[in-house]
Amino acid sequence: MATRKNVRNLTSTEKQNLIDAIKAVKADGIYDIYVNWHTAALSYPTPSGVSPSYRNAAHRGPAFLPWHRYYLHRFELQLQAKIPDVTIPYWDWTQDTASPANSPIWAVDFLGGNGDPNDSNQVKTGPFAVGQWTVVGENGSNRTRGLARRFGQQASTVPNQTQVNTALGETPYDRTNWDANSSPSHRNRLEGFLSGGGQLHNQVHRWVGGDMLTNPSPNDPVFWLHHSNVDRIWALWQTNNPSQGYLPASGGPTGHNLNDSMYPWNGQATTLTARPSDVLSISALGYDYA
Amino acid sequence: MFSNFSRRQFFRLIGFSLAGITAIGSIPFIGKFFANKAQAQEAVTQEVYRGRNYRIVNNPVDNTPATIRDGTRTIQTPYDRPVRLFIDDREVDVIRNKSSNKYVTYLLPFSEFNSVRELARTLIELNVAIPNGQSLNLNAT
Repeated sequence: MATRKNVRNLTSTEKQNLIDAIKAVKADGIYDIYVNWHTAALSYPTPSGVSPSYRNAAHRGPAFLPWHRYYLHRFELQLQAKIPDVTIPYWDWTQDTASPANSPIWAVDFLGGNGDPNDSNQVKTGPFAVGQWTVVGENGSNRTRGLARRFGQQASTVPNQTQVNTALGETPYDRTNWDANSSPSHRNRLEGFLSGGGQLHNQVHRWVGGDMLTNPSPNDPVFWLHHSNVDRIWALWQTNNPSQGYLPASGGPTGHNLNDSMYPWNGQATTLTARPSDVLSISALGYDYA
Repeated sequence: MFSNFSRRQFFRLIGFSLAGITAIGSIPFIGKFFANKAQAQEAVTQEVYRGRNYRIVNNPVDNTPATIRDGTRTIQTPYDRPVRLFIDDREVDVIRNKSSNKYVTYLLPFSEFNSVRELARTLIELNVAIPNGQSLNLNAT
């Protein structure tokens, strides 16, 4: 069983192994295709005929959590193909609510720090600094600049434990109309479209800013640590609410029902197939959280 | 002022006045000072921001369907498109969430905006590439 650890508990070797594995996946071109998967899913309306800005394959609907669980699982397998035993650590943002800019994850020997506000907010410290890391745009082509971060761009801080507890206690998993207005909904609360109680997942994207605000947000490696924490919270909710299953089981929008394939893993856009029902158990996928 | 006019003279004066306005309005140059109702509704905002041109126009004929088929249910469409946004003459998909009255685009998936102007400027600040229909390479496992 592979264990995803709190990033604060990584050894120096584990941190370096993670960086090296990410860079190796980048070097063989796989990383940028994973970024394209995220971009493509966000522009894929579900069902067809609605605006992707309303609901798409990976956001603003029930599949948000299983889509990202599968996404991280596949990426972790890619990392482990480079360096065995590497896992994606999680960034527990509640430990940095008081001063997220001073989180240890931004150390120069790990993810590097904030972008330079006098130079297009490009990151200039750490292994993902301009010149050492490229980013792809919405059209899949390399941008003419490096990775951009702008701490505090659209949120003043990151979520706190009280706000996470609200999500942990909210049931059911989701409800009609299965969108960004659904309430009460664990999925929508954790995704971050409900007012009051913090905006959790969305809030972290908006706090890091820069590339993390856009469709190709996985360009920033903090994406994986952020979503590892989102996934961990969902797993905790599942443990705490064993009678609450994934919803909708059926009858909901295409791409979001329990046994619907999730784009692009529909056997057509890619050779992979994945459904929410395939990823409900993290132990069945071979990992847990410490 | 017209108290000494006969009724016939008064109505002839009104008729001449109306004909004069119509004639003036039909002259191409002068007509530009009399924008028709459709023209007045079209443009809302047009600015150059950080070297890029963006335009927000009213959308009086919103073709967003009143209902959508959502799974096995038909529901009232939860969004509309009261305005349209163009950046460098390329249209950006923008909807308004009827519940929150916020503006949303999938190109900024984690944010909701109080105004389309704010949304447009954020897209430009982040140098977001407006999709051009190009297919992405998705070939990986």
